[in-house]
Amino acid sequence: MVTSPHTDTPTSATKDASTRTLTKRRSALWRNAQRAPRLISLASVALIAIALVLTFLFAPGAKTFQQTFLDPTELRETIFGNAGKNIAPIWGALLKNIELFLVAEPIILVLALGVALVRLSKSPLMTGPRIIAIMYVDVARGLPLILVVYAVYFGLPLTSIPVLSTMTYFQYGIICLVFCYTAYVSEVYRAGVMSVPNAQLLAGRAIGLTESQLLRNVTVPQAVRVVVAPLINDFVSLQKDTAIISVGSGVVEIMSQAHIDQSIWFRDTPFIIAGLFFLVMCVPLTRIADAVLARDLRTRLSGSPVTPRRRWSARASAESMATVLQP
Amino acid sequence: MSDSTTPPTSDDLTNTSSEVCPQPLVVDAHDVIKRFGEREVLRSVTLHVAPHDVVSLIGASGSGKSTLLRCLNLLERIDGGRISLFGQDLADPDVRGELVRRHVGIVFQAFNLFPHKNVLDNVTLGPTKALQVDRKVAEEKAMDLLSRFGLKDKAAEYPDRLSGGQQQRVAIVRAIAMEPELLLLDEITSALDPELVAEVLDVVRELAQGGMTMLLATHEMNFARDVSTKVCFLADGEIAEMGTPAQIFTAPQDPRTQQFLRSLTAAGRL
Repeated sequence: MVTSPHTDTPTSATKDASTRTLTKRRSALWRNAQRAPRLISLASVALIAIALVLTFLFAPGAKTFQQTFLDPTELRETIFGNAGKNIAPIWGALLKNIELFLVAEPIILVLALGVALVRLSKSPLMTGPRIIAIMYVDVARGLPLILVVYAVYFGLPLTSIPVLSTMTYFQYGIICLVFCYTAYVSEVYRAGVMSVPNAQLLAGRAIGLTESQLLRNVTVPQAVRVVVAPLINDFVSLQKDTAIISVGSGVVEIMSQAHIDQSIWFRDTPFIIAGLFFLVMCVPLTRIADAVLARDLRTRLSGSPVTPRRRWSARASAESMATVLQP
Repeated sequence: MSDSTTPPTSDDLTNTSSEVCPQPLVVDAHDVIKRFGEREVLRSVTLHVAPHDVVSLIGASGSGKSTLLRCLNLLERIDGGRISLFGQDLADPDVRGELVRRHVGIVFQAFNLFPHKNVLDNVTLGPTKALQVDRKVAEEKAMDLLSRFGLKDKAAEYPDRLSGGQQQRVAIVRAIAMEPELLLLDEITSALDPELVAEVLDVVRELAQGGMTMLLATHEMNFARDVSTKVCFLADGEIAEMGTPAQIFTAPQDPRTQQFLRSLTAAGRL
C-alpha cells in the first residue's frame, strides 16, 4: 500500500467537503484549459495574416514586385497560352513533368529493391555485387542531379556506345532521375528492413520458417509500415527534381516552358506559375506523407496496426483520463 | 500434449541420411563450447534429455542457460563439442536449421509475438508456411489449442491488446501448434508481472503432465522443483551439478550450487 507523505488523513466529513470543492474547481480549470488554446491559435493566425497582407500591399517596392511576378495578362497567357504570340500553354509542359515522374518512379521502386536486397544479403557469393552496390549508392547520393544531367545529356551522345549514345532526350531524362533516386530509395528500403527487431527474426526462425518465408511473412510486412512515409517524401522530391531535367534541354517540361515565356516579357511571372503548379502537385503528397508518418508513430507507440478498433480504444483511454481529472 | 508421440527419425532433419536409432535420446549434448567473441559462454556442457523428461536449467544470469537453449535448435552455432537431437548429429552438413526447428519449439522471455498479425495468425503461421498444413485445418487446430488455454475469445485480437500473461500463453500455443517433440522455454516468466506468472506456469505444468519433453531455463525455483524430472545447475559455462529436484534443492553437493541456493533463500525466493 502506498501512502502519500504529504497529506494528513482528515476526518471523513471534512475530506468529503474539501474533495467536492476541489473537484468543482478542477473541472472549471479543465474547461478553461480546453477553451483557451483555441482562442490563442485563432489570434496568432489572424495576426500573421494581417501582417502578410499589409506587407504585400504597402511595403516599399510592392508595386514593382507585383509587376515583375504577378502581371495579370502574363499570368493568363502563361497558363492558357496565346496562339497569336506563339506562347504554348504551360500546363502542356507540366504534363511532361508528370510523364517523367510516372515513368521514372516505377523503375526506381523496382531497381531500388534490387539494390537494397544486394546490400542486405549476407552470402559470401554476393560480396562482389555488394561492394558495387555500396559504391553506386555512395556515388549517386554524392552527386548533384544537375551534374548528372550535364554528364548524361552532353556526355552520352558523344560516346559511341550502341544504345546509350542514341537515346531520346526524354529517355536521357529518365536515366538521370533513375540513377540518382534509386540510391535514395534503396536506402529507405534498407532502413525499413533493418528496423525490424532481431527478436522478430528469431521468432520467425523458431517456428521453422525458411529465410525467404521469414522475409515474406515477418520482415517485409513490418518494414513496409516504416517505409511508406519516407518513400512518399522521396516521391515529392522526385516530382520537383523533374524540373532539373530542363537544363539538359530537349525535353520541354514546365521549367523550360517558363524560361521560354520569361524571355518574351523579360519578367518572372511564368516562374511563379510554374511554382504554383509544383505546389499543387506536391503539397497533397506531403500532407499524405505527414498523415502516414503520424499514423506510423501511433502504430509504433502502440505496437500494432491502427485499426478502427484501436482508434476507439484511444478515445476510450482519453475518456478514462477525463474521468480521472473530473472524479 | 502433441498427438504424435513418435520422435522424428533422422530423415526428418536432413532429408537424406538414413541412419535410425531405435530409442534415441531427445538431446545428447557432449562437451559443448560456445563463444561470443573472446567470451566463452559455454565451456563444456554435457547434457542428456530422454523422451518425456522435463529438465530445468537453473543458475545465475549470464551463466549460459539461454545460450544453451539456442544452440540446441541451431539459432546459435556451437564452436566445439557435439549435439545430437533424436540421434542425429547437428554438425552434419545436411542438417538444416529450419528443419530442426520444426521439431524443436522455443518460447522466449519477451514473447516475440508478431505485432502485425492477430493471435490466430500468429499461431497458424508456422503450421501453414513451414509445415504446409492446409489453412482450414491449421486454424481449427489453433482454435482448439487456444480454447484449451483460455484464449479462445482473444483469437482475433492483436498482441498489444493482451496482457503479458496472455501474450506468453499465445507464444506457447504458437510453439506447440508445430507439434514439437521438444519444447525449449527460455525464462518465460521473467518478463511478467508477478500476478501473471501462475497462469503461464499452469500451462507448462499441463504440458508436462501431457508428456511433452521440455527443457526450461528458469528462475522460478519452486516451479522447477515441482515440475522437473531433472534439475541442472549451470555455473561458469558448465553444468556444475545435475540431479533430481530433491537432490539439488535439499542436498546440493557442489559449493557453487550451495552458494546459489543460499542467496536465493536469503532473497526469499526459495
